[in-house]
Parts: sequence; structure tokens; C-alpha cells
Amino acid sequence: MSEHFNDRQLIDTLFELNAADDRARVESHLAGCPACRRRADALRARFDQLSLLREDVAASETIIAGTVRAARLRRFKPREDRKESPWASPTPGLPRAAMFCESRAEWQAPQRTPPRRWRPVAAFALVLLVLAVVPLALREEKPAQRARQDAPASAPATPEAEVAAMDMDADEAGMIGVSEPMQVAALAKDEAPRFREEKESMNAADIEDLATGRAAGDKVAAPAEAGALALADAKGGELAFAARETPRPVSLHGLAAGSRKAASSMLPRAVPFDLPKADGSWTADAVRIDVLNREGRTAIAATNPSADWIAVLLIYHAGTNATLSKTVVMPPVSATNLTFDLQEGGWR
Amino acid sequence: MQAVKDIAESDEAIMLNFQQGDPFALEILVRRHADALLGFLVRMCRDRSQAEDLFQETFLRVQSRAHQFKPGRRFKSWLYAIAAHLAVDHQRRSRWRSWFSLDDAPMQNMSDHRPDPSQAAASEDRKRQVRAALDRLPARQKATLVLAYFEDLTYPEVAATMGCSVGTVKTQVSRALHTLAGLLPDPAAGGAS
Repeated sequence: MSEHFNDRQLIDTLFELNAADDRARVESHLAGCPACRRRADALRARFDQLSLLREDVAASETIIAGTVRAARLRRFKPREDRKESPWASPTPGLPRAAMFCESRAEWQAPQRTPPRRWRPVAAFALVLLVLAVVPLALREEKPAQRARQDAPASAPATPEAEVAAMDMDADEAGMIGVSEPMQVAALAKDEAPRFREEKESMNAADIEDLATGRAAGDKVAAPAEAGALALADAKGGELAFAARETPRPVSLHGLAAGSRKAASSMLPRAVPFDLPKADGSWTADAVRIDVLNREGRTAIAATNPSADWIAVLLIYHAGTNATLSKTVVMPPVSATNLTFDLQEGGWR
Repeated sequence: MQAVKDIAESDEAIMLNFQQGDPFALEILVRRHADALLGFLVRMCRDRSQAEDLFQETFLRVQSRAHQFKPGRRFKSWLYAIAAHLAVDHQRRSRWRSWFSLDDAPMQNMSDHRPDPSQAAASEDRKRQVRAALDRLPARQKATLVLAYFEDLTYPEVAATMGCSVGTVKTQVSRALHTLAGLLPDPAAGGAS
């Protein structure tokens, strides 16, 4: 009988960590050595206890949705140095949606962090600027204060502040957001999204109500409160839902108190769209996007009059977790040519 | 249609779509790997809430470093490499805490099926001892062992995930098991060794 093997050699053999010939040598020894076999069996039984930790772990919908939402929020976080609304068109007369082209790069490619070597220089310049400006500002403090008192309330500086302000406004006014009809997006004909029909979520009456705006309790936001949404064709023919605030997240209006922030955070803040033609007409089918409140959920209807379809994207919310869960496409209905009149506050 | 796409497309193809701007691609990957990745992180961490934090951070890093994903690389290895790095880093940072509470931190929501209270209590107790033994391993050894033993990755896959050679993986696993042999409770004695 050859010399006994130690624990390390036995463990390496049990888990196939040693070379094949070493393993064969140990196994051959185990066949004829009861003492080593007992020790190997004891080690195996000890390691079998690790399987107690092998039980399945299920990730909850909360953590999944939260992760996706956090990723979207981080990905579409607006540039800090952009003060005016990114929807604002740089060229008078050009539809504001043209700005989507600028946003497209943000949508398409994850951003690399730029080098930050300029920051110390910028900080130093800022200090100099403050030192130069503060004395001047102190001298003109009184006129400035008067101007602030006379001026209307300005928009919050950050998205978070906008969200908070929006919550407050919506709570006070009980308003429901409806997108401006002029905020349209283009879908190329050859990229027309393929739809699946999932009618279990809404019945025909719901759709009719949605399209005509007749649903009980639906109210209309003032134009200044209106947001804009758009429909884009994502990869693989799936519909991509996108929204952007003008100046605030439109989705906030449609959701019950407490879930607005969650719903807002899941909305991407940059959208890929095609440019209109030089004469201002759209290169493809235009879609009109409407948002209506439907008893605790937000329904977003995208209407394409020329193609006779209505896509309804629903955002459900449960507790504080809002989820974009369904893409419901309904057959053409008679209401496709309706437009929403912001001045009259109704459909015509 | 989405379901069909989920099944048909590989992780790597979906990751490519994500690199090209598909807004739904990341969600597909999150859902596809959620249970397995969370399971890995739960085994690596001392409690579930920490594991969930790391789970979210893992996918945020997948997003922010998407441009670093090279075609031809296996997505799962890349994903677990990020998760393992985060878990190892987390364990190292919180090591001081573990000196004070080596045998506590019962896992929450890990088991809802308890046929017999006394049996379940004994099982939970044994599980705690096993977990405590696992937690005593050096972070990198633990990550290597968990990937190889619990996630059923082959040694070359673990090597790709941990960014080292297969030989190094085997050495780490061997050392981890040798240490565990002295830490795991003796099943015959019914208590800690």
C-alpha cells in the first residue's frame, strides 16, 4: 500500500482540480485504501452542505423594474449645461421635434465620460467670475429684487425640481396631460412598426373613448401644461415609446399621486426621430400622440390618420412602480381623423 | 413578437442592439439574467438588500461600459465579471463589519417552504453555519468558488470571468475548498467543527 494522500490531494481529486494522471493515481489509491476512502467520503459529505445555499433566488419585479428605470434615468439624464428646453427649436419656424436629431446620438450610443482635466481650470475661472460679479450684483440688488417680484414664476431649474413642481401643480389643479397635436413625429413608411394585438387590456369601448376623449373624468390641461410624446420605430420593428417634457414630463399628469415621480423617471429624455423635409412637411406618416388619464393609469394613444391605425401604449402603475407593460394596437376606428383643439379644450 | 425576439436572439446580439441604441435591449438582458445574477450576488453578499443594490449597480455598469463589450466575447462572462468585481470590492470594503458578526445575517426571503418548524430551524441553523464558513473566505477565492460551484461555470468560463488563467482558477478553488474543509460544520456531528 502506498503512502496515504492528504486532504488537499483528495479535494483536488474530488473537484477535478489536479492533472488527469494525478487524479488517476489518487483514484486508484482510493480503490484499495479504506482509510483514504473514508476521509474522501467525509470531505464529500462536508462539501455537500454547500448545496444548502444553492436554492433558487427569484428577482422580484420591483428590483427588475427599478433597475431598468434607474438605467433609463441615468442614460437620459439631461446635460447639466443645457438651460433652455431641449425641445426648443434653434430655427424659428422649424418644428421643435427637429431637435430630436440632436438627441439621437444620446439615444443611440452610451456616452463615454469626457476627460475632466478642464474642471480645475473651470473652477478657478468661476471663482474669478464670482469675485468680479458679486460686487456689481450687490450694487444693483434693489432693482433686481423688484424685477424678481414683478416677474412670473420661472420654471424649476432641474428635472427633479420640475417633477416636484409638477406634482404640486397637478395635485392642485387635478389636471390631466394631453399632448399638443403639433408635436408629431415621423415614421418612415418602410419602417412602419409591426404590431401585435393584445386586446385583453382594453376593449373597443375603451379605445373609442380614448380616441374621442369622451371618457368620464378626462380633463384637459392648459396648453402651457401640455407635454409632448412621440412614437419611434425601434430595432426589430417594435414600437419604442418616448416622451419628453415641454417643459415638464407629460406623464406626470396622468398618474395618481405618489407614482408620478416613478413614472416620470422611466421615461427616456431623448428620442430618435427623423427630420421633416426642408419645406416643413414630414417625410413619412405623422403620428399624433395623445395622453389621457384612465382611472389610475396613463393611456397614450398614437394615431396615424393616413395609415388608419391607432397604437395605444399603456403605462400601468402599481404602488410606486410604474411599468410600461403593454403595446396594444387596435384596428382602425372612425375616430382616427379627430384632432384635439387646445383652444377649445376638446376633440373635433 | 417581443417574446419571440427574446428567445431567438442571443445575449451577445441583444447587447449589440443595445450598443446601437435599442432602448429595450437592456431590459431584455436584465430580465433574462435577473434570477441567476441575483442568486450569485446573494451568495456573495451577507444579505439580500446588499445583493439587490449590487444587482442594480451591475446593470448600470453594463450600461455605462457597453462600449467596452467586444463582439465575440460571451455576455454572461462579461456580466458576471462586472458583478464579481463589485461583489469582491464590496466584501473587501465591508470586511471590518464581518469581524463583528460572522455568524449572523440570516438571509431574508430565501425560503418560504417550511414543512416542519423544528426541521426548518435546524436547516436554517445549518445554512447559517455554511454561509458563515463561505463568508470567511477571501473575497476573490469566494467569488471564484461561487462561480464554479453554484453558477456551474466551467473552469475556463470562470477564468474568463475573473480575468485570470485556468490554472489560477483551479488554485483559488483548491485553496478555498481546503479552507472550507476546516470551516464547514461536520455533518455527522451536527455542529460546527
